[in-house]
Amino acid sequence: MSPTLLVMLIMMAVPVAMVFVYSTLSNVVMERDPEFVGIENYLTLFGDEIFRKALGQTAIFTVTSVTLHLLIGLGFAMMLNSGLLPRLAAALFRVIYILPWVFTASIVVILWQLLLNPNGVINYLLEAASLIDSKVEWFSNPSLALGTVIFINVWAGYPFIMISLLAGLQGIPGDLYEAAEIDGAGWRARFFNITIPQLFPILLAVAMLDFIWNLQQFPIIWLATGGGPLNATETIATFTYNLAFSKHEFAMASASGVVLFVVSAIVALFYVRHQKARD
Amino acid sequence: MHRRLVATAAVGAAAALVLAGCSSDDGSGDTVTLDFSQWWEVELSEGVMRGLMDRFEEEHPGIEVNLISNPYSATVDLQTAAAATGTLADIVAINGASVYDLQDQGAITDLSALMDDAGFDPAELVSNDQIDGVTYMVRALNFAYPLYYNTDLLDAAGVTELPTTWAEFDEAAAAVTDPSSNVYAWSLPINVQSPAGFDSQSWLWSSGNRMLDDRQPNFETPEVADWLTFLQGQYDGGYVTPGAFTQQEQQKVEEFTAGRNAFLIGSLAHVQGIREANPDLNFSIGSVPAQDGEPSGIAGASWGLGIAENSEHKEEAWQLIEWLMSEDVNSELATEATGFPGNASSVPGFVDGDPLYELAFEVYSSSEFVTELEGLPQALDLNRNLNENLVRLLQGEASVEQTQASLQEYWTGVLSDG
Repeated sequence: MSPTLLVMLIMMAVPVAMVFVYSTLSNVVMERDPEFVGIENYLTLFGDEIFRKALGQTAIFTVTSVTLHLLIGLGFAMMLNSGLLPRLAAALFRVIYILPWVFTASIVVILWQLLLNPNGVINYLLEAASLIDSKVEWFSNPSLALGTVIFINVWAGYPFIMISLLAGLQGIPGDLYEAAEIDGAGWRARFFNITIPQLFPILLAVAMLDFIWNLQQFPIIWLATGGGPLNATETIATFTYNLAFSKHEFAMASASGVVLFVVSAIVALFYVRHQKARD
Repeated sequence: MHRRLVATAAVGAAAALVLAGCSSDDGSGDTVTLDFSQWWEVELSEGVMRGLMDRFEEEHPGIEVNLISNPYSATVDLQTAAAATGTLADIVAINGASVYDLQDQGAITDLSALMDDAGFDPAELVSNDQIDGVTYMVRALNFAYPLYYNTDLLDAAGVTELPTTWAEFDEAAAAVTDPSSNVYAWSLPINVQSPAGFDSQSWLWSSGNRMLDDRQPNFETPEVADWLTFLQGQYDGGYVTPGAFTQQEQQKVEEFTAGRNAFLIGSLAHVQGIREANPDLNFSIGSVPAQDGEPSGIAGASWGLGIAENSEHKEEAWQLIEWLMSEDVNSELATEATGFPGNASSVPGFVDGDPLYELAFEVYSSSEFVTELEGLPQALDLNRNLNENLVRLLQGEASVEQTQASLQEYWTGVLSDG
């Protein structure tokens, strides 16, 4: 066995296999002699109302985040690539737009907690503009919390998509646009018939990667709301963490982790097949 | 084939080197290296913890201490994982919230036996908490949670006397609250990610009442109903800083430090930080008001010490604990951490000369030190459940009776399993 395979086996395959095994045992780790319980943990998990809510919210969080990442990333990338901005301004905006990606999750959350604090700057500005008449509790209001957390996640994550798409846009030959213009194609036709088809492989690849990353997003949600209030921002990641480190139900946490793993693996499989097809 | 063998041998050698580096014994003669996992170094002033360990090493030749320092929540998470895999550090800083679960996992050792072997008299300790007659944790320090009050805000609102009953507090809260200036009476952080403080429970405990009876939940009592109704009244009255459901402990302290809260229920350890951050703030310390006056209980937390069951150097680990619990060292530690010593003979140095600390020591000494959640199974989860139920109550999604029933049901499930 080659050393590479040995390291991969120890670092990746063994932990993943252990989580699968743990998910079929009674409360492993906490019990000295856990018993085999088959799919009982999975049945309990899917019977749990909060887990089902977390599943739905994970889907909302992930799909909304990826969609907005793509839209904002593409918009900014096109703006930076348009040639409408002077060279210096384009360089400046490139730095400004990439800033959110430079910060760690904890800095991002602290920053937005300060801004969105009920006594913070955002509420002050909204009050000054007469858009609100009482302090909005962005994180503490159960009907606003998920949207707020998605907003922060979108802000923190779009630069990666922007940079990837900018690289793709710079690779599209200018001749195509010139030819289309001579043929009388407007900006809409050029966007849908040249830009999107040319960018499609990159768009698909970054969308799938972003989907997997957002599916597993934990630090931003945990630091901002901890899955609360009243489970309004609970996702599979926070639910799993609570099972393991608050309730000490490691077998159930493993089962929950396996669910997340399976969904991620399906998307990863599509990604690999897509990459293979390109090659 | 030959290259493959060489590569495999190289990987094996590297693994052996890594494993040798992980060993507690550094191989230089008879020196024993103790791993000490704690959050104390992060919270104490720079160099204090290492300085203490250096002194211990000087006085105990042949023992070295390797400090593994992380913030509190990271320490707890690491310990849970390490306990599961039998890789807990030789000495672990723990508290009442984690001691039950660690002993339940068989991860921490019987300290009663080690005390006997070393001829240590448990009477030297302020409290010797036991689970089923066995000591698993020694409390090095106790932290009291009195009521801080901003004297300037109270004066400006015409509150001349400090409230001693809930009714008086209600009046004072109404007088100081002024949302147009962002001033509120107090903060009630009831988040679910790190339910650390005692902002809600202190009101019940100060009135001499408890959530448990003989370690079993006892929520369905008129006293608990009154307590929940009081909290609901404070929230509905608008006296609590907005954002309570996700507010963090640190944000609560910042609100008080910035002069936006008139009251704060917090650890004495905050005094120095508040003074440094806002030297102009005039504040004092008192008891948390009781339902009908005469406060009798003060919330408390602890910094405790335990020894890992998997440690190969339990005797040496106990020597370090005994040294930290000795009269002088414990006083010094208490002074640095602004806590109260775990050694019954120690007196913290900060009490002398500072009127605020003297007042706090008076409040602490005249009250019963309440640590109701300590030593309970899944204490963190129980605290989280309390906060979830309070959010539901304050949000208007549950009545007081429903909240009592919900708490009783969940806590009974956890505590009867434990």
